[in-house]
Amino acid sequence: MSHGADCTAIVTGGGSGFGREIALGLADAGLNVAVIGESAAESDTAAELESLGARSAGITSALDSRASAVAAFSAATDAIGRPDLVVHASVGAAALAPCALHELDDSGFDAACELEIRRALFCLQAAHDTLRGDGGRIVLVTPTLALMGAAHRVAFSTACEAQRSLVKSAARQWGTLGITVNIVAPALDTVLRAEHRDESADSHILADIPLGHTGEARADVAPVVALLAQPAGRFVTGQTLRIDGGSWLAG
Amino acid sequence: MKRPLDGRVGIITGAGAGVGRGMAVACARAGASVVIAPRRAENGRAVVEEIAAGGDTALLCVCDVTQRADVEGCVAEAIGRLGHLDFFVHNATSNRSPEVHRVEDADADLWDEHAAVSIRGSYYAAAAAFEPLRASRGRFVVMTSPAGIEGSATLPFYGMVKAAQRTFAKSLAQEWGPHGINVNAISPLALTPALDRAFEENPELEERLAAMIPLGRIGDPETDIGAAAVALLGDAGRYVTAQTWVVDGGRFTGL
Repeated sequence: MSHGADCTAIVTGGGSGFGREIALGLADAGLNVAVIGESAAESDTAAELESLGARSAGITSALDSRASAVAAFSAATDAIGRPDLVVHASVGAAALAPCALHELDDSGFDAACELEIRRALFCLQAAHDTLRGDGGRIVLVTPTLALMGAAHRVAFSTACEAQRSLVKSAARQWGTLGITVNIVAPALDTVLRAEHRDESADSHILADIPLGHTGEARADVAPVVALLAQPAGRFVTGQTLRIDGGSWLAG
Repeated sequence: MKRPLDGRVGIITGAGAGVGRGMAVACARAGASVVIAPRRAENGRAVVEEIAAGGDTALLCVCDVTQRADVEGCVAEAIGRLGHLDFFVHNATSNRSPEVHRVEDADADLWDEHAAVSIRGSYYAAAAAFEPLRASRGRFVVMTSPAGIEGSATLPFYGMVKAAQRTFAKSLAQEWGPHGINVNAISPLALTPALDRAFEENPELEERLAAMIPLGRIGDPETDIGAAAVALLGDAGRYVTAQTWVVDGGRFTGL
């Protein structure tokens, strides 16, 4: 797998918000990027990616079943070629809204938790179908929230940790297919800001970040995702790479 | 003599067999009144009788944790008959938990069976128990597993729900701390009916597994796991929250 113009990626959730920032950052690093998502802004984002010199395509899909994920991945592959890298960077608005657990109703809990897990599962399954044969790299981008937990984010943090375990098991099962599966984990506030949910970091949060500032999805997180698609990533699998300025140093 | 859980009332799901039964018997022997909440009545009846035969208190409340109304009904029954609720242990897992599968082949139904019991079940349990546990400054416990911490090549969906429950406990502990409710996870290794069957089929397996455990034996659901649960639910657990207690003879050292 080579760096730059020959490297092709699919980014789920890449049409808008956080996923779009990741897609732009991959294009900055010289990758061709197809974006898949349900924002309906996928074509606009593809045009923006092309303006950065990338081969691109935008596919609108809810990714809410394995069949829809497979169809969207096929369309992306038809448009810009077989991917070397699949990045699942989709996160729903409902998942990011803070709420006390006991105040959620069934559909609210599903939207904030189980839907996020199902979507990750369907995308991983579609990624497997797309990459099997020649292998490739899969990266889930999900916040460090899974490691730390947080009040009023029980549902979403639960989903994040389920995804992290899915990655570990898939890494175990798909290693001999030449497929690596890893997590790149930004701090939650990096995701929230990219989704324009401005919970601006106050000074005591900044004091807990050894690097002294919050991270940017495009400038700080995407380059690490791109790194995993390079030869440097060939023996890295099942890992969680925390891109959080050093906030979480346990384990 | 005062016992560590005297006067406490607790619900344990999936308490008809295995680790759930072990924790229920241990809690009852420690003085708690225990609501045995299995999915099928026949499993639970024997446990209620076992506890009653020792002079302690248990009652049966059949509970399918995938149904919100069942879980709420169990909480209502505990309070109606025993006056209050001090702890809720969500121990039930899907019957399909031991089904070996590959991520790429597994269908959405298998995932939903796992998620319904462990993830949705945890949510229903927490939602139903919140007000009574707030009133009693009580305890909430879920069960986890090394599969949830390091993934599993054979049981990916089991690993996912066990991982999910561990972070569920971490987050809920932070949310409920101000209400005085402690939330933790227990990661047990013990003889269960499923393991017993595996050992019958393959007698060398028990020895092989025991050899991988620093303490040299597979835990007992009541005297090993149940004893730890009693400690966590009693005064020893007053200042313990958001944690995973690994009760496995030293088998897993990844935390």
